[in-house]
Amino acid sequence: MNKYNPPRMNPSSLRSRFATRFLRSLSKINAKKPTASSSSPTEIFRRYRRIKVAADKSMAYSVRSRRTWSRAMLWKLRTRPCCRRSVKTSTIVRKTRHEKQNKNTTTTTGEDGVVFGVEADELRELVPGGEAMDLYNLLDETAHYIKCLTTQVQVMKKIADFYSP
Amino acid sequence: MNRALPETLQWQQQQQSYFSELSGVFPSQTSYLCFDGGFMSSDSVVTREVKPDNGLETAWPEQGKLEMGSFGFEFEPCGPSYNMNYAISRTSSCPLAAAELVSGKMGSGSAVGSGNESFKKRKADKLQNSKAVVEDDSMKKIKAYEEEGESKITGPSNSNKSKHKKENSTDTSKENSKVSEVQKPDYIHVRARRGQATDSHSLAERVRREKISERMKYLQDLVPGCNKITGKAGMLDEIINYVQSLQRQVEFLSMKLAAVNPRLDFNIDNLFTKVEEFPTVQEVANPIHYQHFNPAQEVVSETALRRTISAPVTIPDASFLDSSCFAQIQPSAAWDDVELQNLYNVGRFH
Repeated sequence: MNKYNPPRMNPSSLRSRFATRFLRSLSKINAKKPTASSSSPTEIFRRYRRIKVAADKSMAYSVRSRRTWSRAMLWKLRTRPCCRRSVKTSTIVRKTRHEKQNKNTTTTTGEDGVVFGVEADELRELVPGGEAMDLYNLLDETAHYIKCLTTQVQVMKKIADFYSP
Repeated sequence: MNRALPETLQWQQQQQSYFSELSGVFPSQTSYLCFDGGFMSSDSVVTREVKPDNGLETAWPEQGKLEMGSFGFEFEPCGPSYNMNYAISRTSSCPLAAAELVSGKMGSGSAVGSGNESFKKRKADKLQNSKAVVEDDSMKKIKAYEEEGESKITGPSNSNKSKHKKENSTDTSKENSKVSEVQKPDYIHVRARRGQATDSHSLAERVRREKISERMKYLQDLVPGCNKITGKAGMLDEIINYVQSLQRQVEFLSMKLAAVNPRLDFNIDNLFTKVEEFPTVQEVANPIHYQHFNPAQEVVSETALRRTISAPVTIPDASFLDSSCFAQIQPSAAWDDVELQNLYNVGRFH
């Protein structure tokens, strides 16, 4: 049999880091499912949630703490209500934090502030951790976040295509 | 810094000898204007008009500190020859040199006029040459020009120009500013354009705006289809839509993976090679067509069936049971035993 060696990518690139982590977590998710009810909608939905969280987590861990959005996402993932008991506390914590950040949100002076007021807020909601950033850093984080999201989409698309042509 | 002192002494001596010569060589101020128009680009310096007589008296003691955008830069090649121009009346070495000579002479003329008093002040203020007080006074520009020349002799002082802008509102009597500013690398170079305000607030604002517009351009490259949109607000809307669509794509793909998963086992290495070798995937700007597949059993089994059917293309249908054929099945990916079992089972019922 011919051995086909595809050209290797940079092993430490964002893509490969994310792919490794995500595949590992995917296999974990698949391993622990019971085969009996594996195809029921609820089970699939539950798996979907887990896979989505796994994807976000893998992406955030691939970026580590280098970026504000990854730190915010990791924080969000850690404090999400894994068990129902901690829902209230986490939401309260989040509310105060959000209030604080609302006060601290800087508005750019000059004509930029007028133009970017509404859209910047929308962007802040989209990008994790964007509430407390001024416009320049927000744009910076958005650029990196877009790059990581595209990587994530590409890898996941490849995986999905591999398993369902 | 210590070098400056004998320079001034030498300078003053030369001034007295050359001042009369200068007045002969350059009878009117318009000649300076000619040189002026020659070098300066349209957006370089704040002030243009030359009023040497007024400026000479007042500006000299303060050691004019204006920003010289292009002046400073263009001055560089002639820097080393600056002193020589003073020593000998070489007015034709380069037009820049001639202009600086003019400015030098004019400045020196004022020094001569004001006498010892200005000389003492000059001694004290000599080292302030890098301080910028932004005023619409042309001779300050000339003085700064001279000071720029000397500071360039002492060391790289391109940073001085920007520091002028940043510090124009602060105190201007720091003696070691020339040297210390040279060593501070963290200043941002800002050039005031013609007709624009030059106080520190608007300058900082301008720097900020430039950074933001630079970021927007970078984002424009990232987000496909943004080249046609020129406004900032439209750009931001586009970016927001793109981020939303990417997030939705991730959700959809995770849903797809959740639905596809149950029958299959993941072999990390194979997947890894598959994943690694893909080329640049074209990005879908708009949300991809969402296949509304119901997460029902039929679909799952259907996908599994589809997969098994499409994979072993080269094998005749009857040979599923043959193990050797399984070896032929494998394309570039070696399947797991479990997957082969699935194949076998499905193939049997097919």
